Amino acid sequence: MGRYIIKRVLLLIPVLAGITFVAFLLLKAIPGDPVLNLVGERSSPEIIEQLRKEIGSDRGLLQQYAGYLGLLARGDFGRSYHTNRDVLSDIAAKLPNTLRLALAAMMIAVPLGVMAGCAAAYHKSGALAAAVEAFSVAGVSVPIFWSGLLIMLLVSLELRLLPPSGTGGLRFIILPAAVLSIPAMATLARVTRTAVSEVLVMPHVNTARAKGLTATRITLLHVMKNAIVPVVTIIGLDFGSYLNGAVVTETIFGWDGLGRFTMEGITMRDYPVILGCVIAGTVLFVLVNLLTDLLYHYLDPRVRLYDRKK
Amino acid sequence: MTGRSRAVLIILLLFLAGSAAAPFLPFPDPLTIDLDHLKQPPSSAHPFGTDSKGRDVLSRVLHGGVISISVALVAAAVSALIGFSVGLVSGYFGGKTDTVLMALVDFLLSFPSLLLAVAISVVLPPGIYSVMIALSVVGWTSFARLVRGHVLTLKESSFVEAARAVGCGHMRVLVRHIAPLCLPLALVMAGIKLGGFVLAEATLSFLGLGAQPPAPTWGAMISASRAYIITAPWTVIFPGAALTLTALCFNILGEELRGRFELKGLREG
Amino acid sequence: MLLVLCLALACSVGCSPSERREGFLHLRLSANPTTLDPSLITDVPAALVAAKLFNGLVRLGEGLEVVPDIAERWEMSKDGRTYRFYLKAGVTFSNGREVTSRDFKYSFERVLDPDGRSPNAWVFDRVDGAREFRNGLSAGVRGFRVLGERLFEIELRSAFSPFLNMLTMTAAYVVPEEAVRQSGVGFSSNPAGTGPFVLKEWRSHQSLVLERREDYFAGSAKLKGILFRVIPEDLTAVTEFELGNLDILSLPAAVFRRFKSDPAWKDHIVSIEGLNTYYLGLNASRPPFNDPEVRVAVSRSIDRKKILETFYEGRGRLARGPVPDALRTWQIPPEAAATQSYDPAAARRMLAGRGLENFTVSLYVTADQEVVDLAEIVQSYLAGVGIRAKIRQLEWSAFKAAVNDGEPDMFWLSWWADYPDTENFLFPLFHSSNLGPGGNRTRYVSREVDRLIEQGQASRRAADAARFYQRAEESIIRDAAWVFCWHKADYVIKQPWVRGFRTYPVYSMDKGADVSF
Repeated sequence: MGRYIIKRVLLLIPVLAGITFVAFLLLKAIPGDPVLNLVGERSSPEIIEQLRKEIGSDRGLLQQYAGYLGLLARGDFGRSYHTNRDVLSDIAAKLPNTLRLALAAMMIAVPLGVMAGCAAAYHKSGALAAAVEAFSVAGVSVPIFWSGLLIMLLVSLELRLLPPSGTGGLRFIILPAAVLSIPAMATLARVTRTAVSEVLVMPHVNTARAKGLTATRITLLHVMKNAIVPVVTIIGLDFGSYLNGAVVTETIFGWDGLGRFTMEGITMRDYPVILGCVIAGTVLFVLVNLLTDLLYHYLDPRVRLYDRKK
Repeated sequence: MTGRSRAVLIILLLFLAGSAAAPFLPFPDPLTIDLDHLKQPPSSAHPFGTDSKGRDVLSRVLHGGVISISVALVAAAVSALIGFSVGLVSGYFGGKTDTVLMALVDFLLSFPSLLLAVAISVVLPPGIYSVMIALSVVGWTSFARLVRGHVLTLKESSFVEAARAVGCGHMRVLVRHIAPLCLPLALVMAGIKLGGFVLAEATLSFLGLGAQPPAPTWGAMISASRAYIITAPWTVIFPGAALTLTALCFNILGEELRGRFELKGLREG
Repeated sequence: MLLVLCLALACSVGCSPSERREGFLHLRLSANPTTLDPSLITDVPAALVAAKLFNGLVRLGEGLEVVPDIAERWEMSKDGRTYRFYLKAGVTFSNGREVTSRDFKYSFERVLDPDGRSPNAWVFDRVDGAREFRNGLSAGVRGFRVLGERLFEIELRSAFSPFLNMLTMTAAYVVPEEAVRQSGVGFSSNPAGTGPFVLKEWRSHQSLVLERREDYFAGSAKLKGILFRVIPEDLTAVTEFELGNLDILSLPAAVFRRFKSDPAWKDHIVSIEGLNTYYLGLNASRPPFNDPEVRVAVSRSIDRKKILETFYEGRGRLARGPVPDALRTWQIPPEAAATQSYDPAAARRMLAGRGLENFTVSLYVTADQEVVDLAEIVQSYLAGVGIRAKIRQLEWSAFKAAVNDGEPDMFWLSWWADYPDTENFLFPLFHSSNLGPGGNRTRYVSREVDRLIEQGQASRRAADAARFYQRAEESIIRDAAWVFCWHKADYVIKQPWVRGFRTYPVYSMDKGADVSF
């Protein structure tokens, strides 16, 4: 296990290098002068001059990349064209909000999705199973920017139960978290249902049933233990969906997080902001995937067998 | 085919037909601005109402369908093509090529898909071609993995050994024997992922990337009408409903395909 | 788990109508103020808040006339170059110290100080010695003279009639030197001034709390304080207003009609005619718009009245020239006005006469939904006379840079008064010395207009200046330098329990001291 952790952590390095290289290529690909694209023309001449020394076009491509890497390492992601503020500090300020939102969405999606999936697996036929199945498909078909707007219209603007936008405590986070959780909930319900139904027909579960254990005990002891691996995987993989979804959800609900920052950057063609958010979001995603993988391995040593079979 | 999927297929085909025929049917021009009829609620003259510039929403939804669906289809096709080729090469030749290509796949998968698509769309000039390119770059990876897996199994099969024994070159074996067997797989996967492509295109146009105004894409229509959601909710409801319906139909068909071909090895991602 | 969620939901619903502070006025800011240091302020939210915290020598009354603020009276020399201000006694900063003329010299020089990097230094550019000071050639500005404890004199390089109006601006507020020295850059978030309120709390991007000062020189405010809430989304602000959590709200365009036609609310809506002009700029530095005839043709191909009435729901006045009606004291002759009337057939004839039948021009706009909508409307009108306009959306600073460089053929822009003087709508926009970033973005050059504007600036009496400005504007209209569109009006809605609310054409004049419940 220890060796595995080390191996995975070491793998981070080339991935991060790759991400920064892609960001650098994008910076070069944006029409215009890369230096000005990073800080905007209103920036002070000294800053522009210094940047030219590091990424100027008179240097070789690799040297430019090294210069860019140096900037990133120093925490200099450029300055927003729009506000002229340091991009990294803005990202650092907004990132916790996105994490909070993702966590809240997970807290809604995981219990509800898993329970729905379990219920559908147990009661294989009937209205409940059909409803869960319908929801599994519908949940990933509805675009969240639309469902978000409709929910906001109904709950906030018509019924006035909750504020339509804003960042802050519980009453601000509920709606965006609920909206964000829908696709993940749908996927979880479907995966849980499949995993649990597979386990339910396994011999040792039937044995347990024959021994007279109640359904709940069966579930908790045997089923979850076996089904947990694919479920945990999906929970982790879905984090990407929270990051993706956050871009539109935060914008609609005025939630001051990384997603809305990205959208503002896109709308204003504020390249430093866009690049900064892409890097930050990707690094976050990579780290979460790493954690999920490690958790995965910890939870089920048999997974290593899976690996070899692949 | 189940009754449900048949029903879905019919709905989808009707909708596609409607969209395709829209330019030829007597719908009001989706682009003409009519200042005298701004934000009219649904009526007999305008079944879906009019938007903030007086344009008929039904007409725009149908015309928008053409754009949104065709972009999704092209992106799916191109992704499938790229992924298919990479998977073939990677699976068949193995070794260093395989390691490099699969490392590339893993690398691309370490980006959250939307952020990567956005990053690509932003450096390209705005328009539908950029969106197609961005979606293809993000989408080919799953095709590659799938095809590669299949090729690995096929590589060991007897008829390939026979072909090699007879003296067929690698390329010939690959193109004439292995590829045709992987094609259905790729097509099925494309069918499964089509719903996702439609939603991805809509999200990119919601963000302002993709076809530029005045072109009616569903995502852009919803985005432009955000401010009017209280006063003219029909401008948001109908494009979104059309989008959901389309994605739903594609996803249901996808489920059907997945079940039919028993592709348990088919993961999302 | 479900139980917990339900409880949480119930709690939050119960907490929904909330946050009212007893005795405080609740206002909305559409963005977080960038700074509260008057010398650095350029954005509207900051100026709105700063107006409650600071005072200057003079300010504007409700009718746009200059009235005393800290200066109780003033005199202007015969040659129009020197202004002498007599300050009131007993005006104190929030730290208790009395204001003297030395404070004004300090505050004004601070704006010009090259180390301070103030974007507002241009306000005092005309003061004698200002340029030398900015270039580091002198230790102070000789045009700012402290003649006594409460006697302050300003000398300009040459007579400049709008100067008194410029002193009403945010950059001309007075600040206490000791507070600035103590706070350093922190003064931006920890301001101290002479205003009716002091800043008690600032939660960045969320709210600002201002509390009343009992020792305000013009009488303490009626309300205990003001709570500014930062609400970027319009619909949220509207909901908060409907819930009673905001007292006064600038009505967003999207919901205007809804409130206006609601009998419960329509009497509580006040309209403020804005000192602004929205226009379509035509690049006069190259073909096709270097030809006045072509510009007139474009002007006549767009039905601006209809757009104003339908798309903008009548929220403004049609612009007949660059100067807003409130600042124009004369009539525009009908022949000049004819260049603005809607007549697409005539426009097509004029273009055909010039041999221009189907040509393409670029139209640059900012990435704002309403602006893009408008651009599409303009595009469709132009298509009706055979002009193909290609719309290009740009982020604000990229847009400004492109427009300043003269890149687009056409662009959509607005000009808002820096100070309420007719001159502000002529000199920066049409004088040849201001090409590009100075304000003359259409690169319009006319010797005659230059001369008339300069003569207006040098006049010592308002009536004389008006005569020169009138002739200048006529010339500009005849030349169709812009497609003059409209002067937008602002609509403000207030709760029924708000009393004493006055509206000011320049938002930053509202000191907030007269409002009560």
